[in-house]
Amino acid sequence: MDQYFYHAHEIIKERCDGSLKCIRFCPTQALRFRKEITFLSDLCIDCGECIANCPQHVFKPIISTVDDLKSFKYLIAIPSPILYAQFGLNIHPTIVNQALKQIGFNEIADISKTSDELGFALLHHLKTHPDIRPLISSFCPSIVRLIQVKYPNLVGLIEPIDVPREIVAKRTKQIYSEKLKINPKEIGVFYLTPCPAIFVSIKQPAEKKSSWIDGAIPIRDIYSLIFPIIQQLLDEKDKEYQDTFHFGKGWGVLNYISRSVGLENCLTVTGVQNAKMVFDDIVSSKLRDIDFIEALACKQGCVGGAFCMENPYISRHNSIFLQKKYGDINPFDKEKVITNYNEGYYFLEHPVLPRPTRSFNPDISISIRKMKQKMRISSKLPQKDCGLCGAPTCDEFAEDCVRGEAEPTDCAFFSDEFKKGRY
Amino acid sequence: MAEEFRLNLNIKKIKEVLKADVVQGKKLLSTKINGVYASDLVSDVLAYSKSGSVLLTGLCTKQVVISAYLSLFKAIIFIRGKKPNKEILEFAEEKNMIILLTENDMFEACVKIANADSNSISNFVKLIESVEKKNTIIRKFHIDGQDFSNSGLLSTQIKSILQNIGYDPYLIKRVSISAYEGEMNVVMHAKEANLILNANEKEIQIIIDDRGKGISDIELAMQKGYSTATEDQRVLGFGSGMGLPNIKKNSDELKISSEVGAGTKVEMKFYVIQE
Repeated sequence: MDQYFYHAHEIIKERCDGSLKCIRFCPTQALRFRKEITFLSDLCIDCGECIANCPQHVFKPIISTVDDLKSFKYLIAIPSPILYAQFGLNIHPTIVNQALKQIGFNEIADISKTSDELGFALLHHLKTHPDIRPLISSFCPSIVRLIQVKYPNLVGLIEPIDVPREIVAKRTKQIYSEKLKINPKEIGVFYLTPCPAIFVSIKQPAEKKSSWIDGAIPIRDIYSLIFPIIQQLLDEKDKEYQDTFHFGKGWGVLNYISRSVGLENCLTVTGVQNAKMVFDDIVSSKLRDIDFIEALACKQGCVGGAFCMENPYISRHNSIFLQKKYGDINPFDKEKVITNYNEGYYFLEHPVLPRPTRSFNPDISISIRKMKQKMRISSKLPQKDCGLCGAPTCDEFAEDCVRGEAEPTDCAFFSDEFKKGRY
Repeated sequence: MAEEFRLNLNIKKIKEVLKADVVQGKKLLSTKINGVYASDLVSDVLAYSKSGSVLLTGLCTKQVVISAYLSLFKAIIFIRGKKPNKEILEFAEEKNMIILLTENDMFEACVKIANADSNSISNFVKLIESVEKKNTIIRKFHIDGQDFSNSGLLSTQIKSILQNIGYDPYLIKRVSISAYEGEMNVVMHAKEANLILNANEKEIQIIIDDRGKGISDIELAMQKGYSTATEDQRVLGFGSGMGLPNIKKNSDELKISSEVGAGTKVEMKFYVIQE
């Protein structure tokens, strides 16, 4: 494994008390506890389960801070629509945008209209490519990485159309560099993100050389900055909202893609474990009649991201309500979208490729010998998946033993402590 | 220091040629062994050894005994007069392992065991060849007919085994589609079946042997769209008549034999092309 994988978290070892909770939650079995907690970089998909589930906060997200904004002349924020759902129902998204401007952003870009446009482009793509089914949404970076790591034979099904945040960033950079006559490099485009995975997709995109976005700021950091300003703005009651803000249907709640384009034969699945279940069915060709799968790594979709303040059920409710209240059918030029599509404007720069799989050895015959050994060891282990050895399951432990990364005596059931009744 | 060969010996013979003391498992001396593995490196024992062997080692720790147990060794011979402690003996007793002690060093012990078998040199060559041939993962699974709730579980398991070994992703996809179709055929039409997976560096083979009503006209069953699925099964989304044709499309070799009223045997092969 020579390839380097960027990850958006660091481990603060002093905080770890060895409770092993993270190991059980990791959906790709990337975590190990061997005297201290470590993770296997090639297996980690940045889903954020360890960050969310560790009671000691051992996993610290590495992400842009407000200080990173200072190096740019002109600042544009692309808020994830989830941001607006963090506040009460009486707070108009325009107020949130005004507050963002007060903390230093020059411009706020809307993502929902581009989502509508991309939804239409997707529909067009599905119509013109009837053979590749089901397509899987490229929206969630963790899901894309899950496919790269655990389902290498499904990479061809990842939707080749780029995600709204990237297209918006590309577009706004062009527009404002022309308008203000400054170098695009001096424009800082920041995504206000509900999850750490987006930050990884900016630092090390799976589908292009470099991202159009310059950084990502967690919603929870922004929340604490703008909340007092919002309170202030609400007090100035006589101030009228500029009614310039409309949401498209492409508003980041569950099922938004199918709703925005009216795609009926579409599955929505949230949570990495659930997504794995669906992907297993695709591998065995069980899902023959589905056109599109919208898979999101966080439960309940992006509202369940690790950086959200509000509980996902409430913000989902807020989100639906806000969209009903302020949502608008925004007409876009369908002809132009198709022209753009044909010119390749929306496409990913290159197809997503599988990550090198974690086989025992590039030589199949050596690999088979090791696999047999793994099965043999596994058959003698207690199969209780207790995790005390530091691996999530007995099966993974057997594999670690064969790789030489663990000692069989690490198994609690063969240790002297177990015999003496200490466990 | 790791070499493996296969011999037609039992523990008793080894005890005689090495003039070894049996300190554990005196009743088990007639146990036949598959081979001898000589190593002081525990990780090598775990990574390369074969089941049913004897471990020859100068490392006298409990860890070695546990590793040997996990690797399905039948006996351990401690060389150069090393003495195991009580803990090791207790563990061996509990797990029915035999422990021998000899004064010989590693090389002497290996040579003496090799010479103990009358045709050892020619046997050695033959056995090495057969070991090469037998470098195959064999897994047996059981499928219950009408068990719709667990359908697809087996093909997922097979997929993860093959992925772990590191076969080409597109080969794995073909195998898992075929395994799934085969599995579903059993679930829909048969009472029960055994699925055997054989995987080596040249080919992957899946054999599904079921007990059920059998197929009267195999040629007809191979046609696209032909299905004998019941109305209930069609409601569940099965029985599109694509099962066998799909296996044929994805496999490199397909052999179906069937006896009406007894059962059907489906054998499929997939070639492994290594760069």
